[in-house]
Amino acid sequence: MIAIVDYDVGNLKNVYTALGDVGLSGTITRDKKVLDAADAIILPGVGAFSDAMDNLRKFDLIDTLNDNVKKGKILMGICLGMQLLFDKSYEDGEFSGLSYIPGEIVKFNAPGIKIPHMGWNNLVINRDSPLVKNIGTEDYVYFVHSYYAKPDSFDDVVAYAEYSVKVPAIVQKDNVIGMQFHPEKSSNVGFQLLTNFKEMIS
Amino acid sequence: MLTKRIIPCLDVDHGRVVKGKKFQDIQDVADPVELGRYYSDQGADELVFYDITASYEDRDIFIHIVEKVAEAIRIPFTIGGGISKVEDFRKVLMAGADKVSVNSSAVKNPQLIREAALRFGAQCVVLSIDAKRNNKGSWDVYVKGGRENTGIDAIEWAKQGQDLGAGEICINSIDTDGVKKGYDLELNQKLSSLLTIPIIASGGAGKMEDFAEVLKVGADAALAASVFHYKEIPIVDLKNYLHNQQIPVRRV
Repeated sequence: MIAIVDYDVGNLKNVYTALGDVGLSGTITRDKKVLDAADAIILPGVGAFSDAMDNLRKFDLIDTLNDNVKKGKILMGICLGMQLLFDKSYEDGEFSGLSYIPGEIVKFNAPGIKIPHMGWNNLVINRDSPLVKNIGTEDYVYFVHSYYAKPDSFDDVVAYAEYSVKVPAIVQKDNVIGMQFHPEKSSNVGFQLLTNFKEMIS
Repeated sequence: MLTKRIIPCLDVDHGRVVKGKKFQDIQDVADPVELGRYYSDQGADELVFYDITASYEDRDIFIHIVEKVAEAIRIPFTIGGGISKVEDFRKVLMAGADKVSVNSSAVKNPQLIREAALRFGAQCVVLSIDAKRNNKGSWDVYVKGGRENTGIDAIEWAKQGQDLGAGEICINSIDTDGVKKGYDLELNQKLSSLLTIPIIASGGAGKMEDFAEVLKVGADAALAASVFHYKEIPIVDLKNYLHNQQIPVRRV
């Protein structure tokens, strides 16, 4: 069972449905016992960084996430959920994150580019990982975000997309994984990535 | 590299897809879920479902359609039509939509854009503008399905929408809509150079060259309905054509 963390940050049903596509059973929950019992945890999310962190605090979920990560359980953040994995974000201020991956979240600022980075962009593999099995540079995934991750070490980046900078698309540090794009909205490529995720946890 | 998007638009009336030529002569085409899945398989980058009855009829049928679409397809989709309150945003987003498009209601109450962007994120707020050329060399904003001229300057309204927090602008040219003689290139070029958020061009697609032209002048996405519904342009062929024109597209 995969726990999809329910902390009032938009619709989580699409993630749940896409997990079902690859034969994973998801549970949308904020129950600590369910999170502790889960085979892996998915932290989804859209919206603002500080609101999302506030909600994790409000539902008293941070210690539970910390404990599970420490135990070695796989935690995957999606979109804003990935950004929360880093130390801090400069989205409308300066806010602390979960600090599982060293680095910070900054805004796109190249002249002439459209913000948000919205649409289908291709993945460039930065380093090997079971997460990108059968994934190549002709594979496109759906992004929508105005801020991006700047990890302290680019070795934590499994794949990136080019958009004025090398935008970390898939990050991984040990058992903590992040996807900046939406695998649940990325058609066949998303299906492959979630299949890879499934193989990692089984 | 970020690709240009091709977006089929499906007008939905009582749970069925229709297409109005110049907003008239509506003709039943297909089931929204089946058609959505078909377009997704063909390589559509996103879908727009527009509830054309929503302004004055019960929305429950449509919400049910949104749920069914979200279960069936794995590409992003936008819902428009009859969205006038933040609560309307919440309903369709919770039903599984990725974005919500507002038009007349935002003209009436621009703060709707700000409130929705703050609550759900700018990424899901699409400001849709029906624009028509006037005799002063600019464009006026029309509302109520293109029937009423507000006298508001379309370019100014788009800029204001961006400032209020819209994540995207869909610019529908009433002059070219349903005529199939190409998108309004001048309008799309102006908006693309003035705004920092993505632009979706709408209204006028008749042949593959029309898509190439509007994407080359700066539109980030091109929306069309009838050329796809009547299979005049298969999306697969369109993507190959655009690729050969050196326009970055995602091909399936």
